[in-house]
Amino acid sequence: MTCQLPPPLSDDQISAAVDGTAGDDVIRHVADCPYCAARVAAARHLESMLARRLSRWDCPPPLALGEFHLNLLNKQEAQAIREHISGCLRCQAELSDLAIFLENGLRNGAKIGQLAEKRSRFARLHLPDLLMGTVQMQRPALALRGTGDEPVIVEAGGLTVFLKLEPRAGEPVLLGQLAGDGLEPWIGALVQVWQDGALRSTAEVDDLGSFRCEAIALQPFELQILAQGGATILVPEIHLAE
Amino acid sequence: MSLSSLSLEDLSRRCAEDTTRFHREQVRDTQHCFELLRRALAEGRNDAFTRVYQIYEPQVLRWVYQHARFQETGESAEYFANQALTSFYFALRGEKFARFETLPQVLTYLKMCVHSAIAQFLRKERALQLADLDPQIASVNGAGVADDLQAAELWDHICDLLPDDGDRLLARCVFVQALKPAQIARGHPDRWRTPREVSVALQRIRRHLRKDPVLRDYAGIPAADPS
Repeated sequence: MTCQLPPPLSDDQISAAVDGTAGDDVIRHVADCPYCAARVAAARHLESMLARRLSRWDCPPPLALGEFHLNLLNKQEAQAIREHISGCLRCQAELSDLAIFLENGLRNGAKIGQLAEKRSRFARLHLPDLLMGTVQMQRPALALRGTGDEPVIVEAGGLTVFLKLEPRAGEPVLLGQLAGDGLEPWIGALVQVWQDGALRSTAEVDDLGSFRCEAIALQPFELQILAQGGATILVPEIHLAE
Repeated sequence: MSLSSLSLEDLSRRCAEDTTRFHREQVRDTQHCFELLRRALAEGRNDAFTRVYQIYEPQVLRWVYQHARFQETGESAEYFANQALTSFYFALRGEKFARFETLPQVLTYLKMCVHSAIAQFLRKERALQLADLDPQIASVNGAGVADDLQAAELWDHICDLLPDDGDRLLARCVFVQALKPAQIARGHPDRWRTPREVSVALQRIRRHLRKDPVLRDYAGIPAADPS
């Protein structure tokens, strides 16, 4: 393929087309010449790929920057961050935001505005590290009914979570077991049981992938399992029954 | 009665009362809350951590609303409160809690976790936007070890192509930090005095990178066409 309207666009004209700052003549050329349009598309794709792949790739996580600001790092860690910050305007800006934020002290803070929307602890669902759990049990009530019964089985991102209720006077105990390949990141994860919009119980996933949540009320609950690496399993509603 | 002999119920109640007095700017005792946090984090008692979460969630929510960049996220405050308290839990559990001797120190760390949750979200959001700009780029599946290695190799190759320090700094500003020419000129006035100077230097780098066969192959682009 060759340029249909020679001479072909120059490299700088290609850059302007990618940036959206090209003049009308360049825009017309791209519209009428498949060859130069392909060159613009290739340039855009290459630069998008570089930006996406390299975005903040060697920037310390915000938590590490925060610990640096609070003087909680050892000498080597602090020095590494200091060297990074000297050349990184983004990290400098984040540290500046943090310093201003902490200057306001610990008391109160902003008034909470009207809660016009339903409270949600979940980020928008397209974030890749949020795994929605799907309950696999076929019974309509999807209820946990106590010892001896089959557990509720939840599938989430290749993992299986088995849930069972252990009845105790007044306050049943929720027993859970994670299973599947890729269990390693979930060891030590924080389990949260939410009821009526409030946190009811927490637990930690042990070395065998199991957990135990005490003091659950006999009403529907939402289950979140948060791994330290950032992934979250979310099961929005599971019903309990006596 | 010593702190360690207080039941969890009593300790939690006293911490909640102390916290209320603190927000009313009344004198308050910090030892109950510090002991509750110690049991929750240093001793790893999840029943104590549940109480910590319940007592401090309202304050954490207020901090989220106070953060200058919260509104940019478009997410709920409850999401960030949960992220902050969760990262607080992971960061300070076990021996790491020993770094803190006073309640204000611990709560300052918790407030820092709020900032960290928002900043981390905005970084991820930016990465997703960069992927969305080009439909040819596969979906972003979160940064992992493989991604980091690829990025390191890619950056090493770009440094090989750009031996000049100024060019490397400019490539870093544009591709790593996603800065515009005006931001770059403001941040590095010793290198480029105006956005125009940045743009001229950038054009040169872009021409050079586009022609590189390794980068073109990496991006799945056919061999360079004659211009």
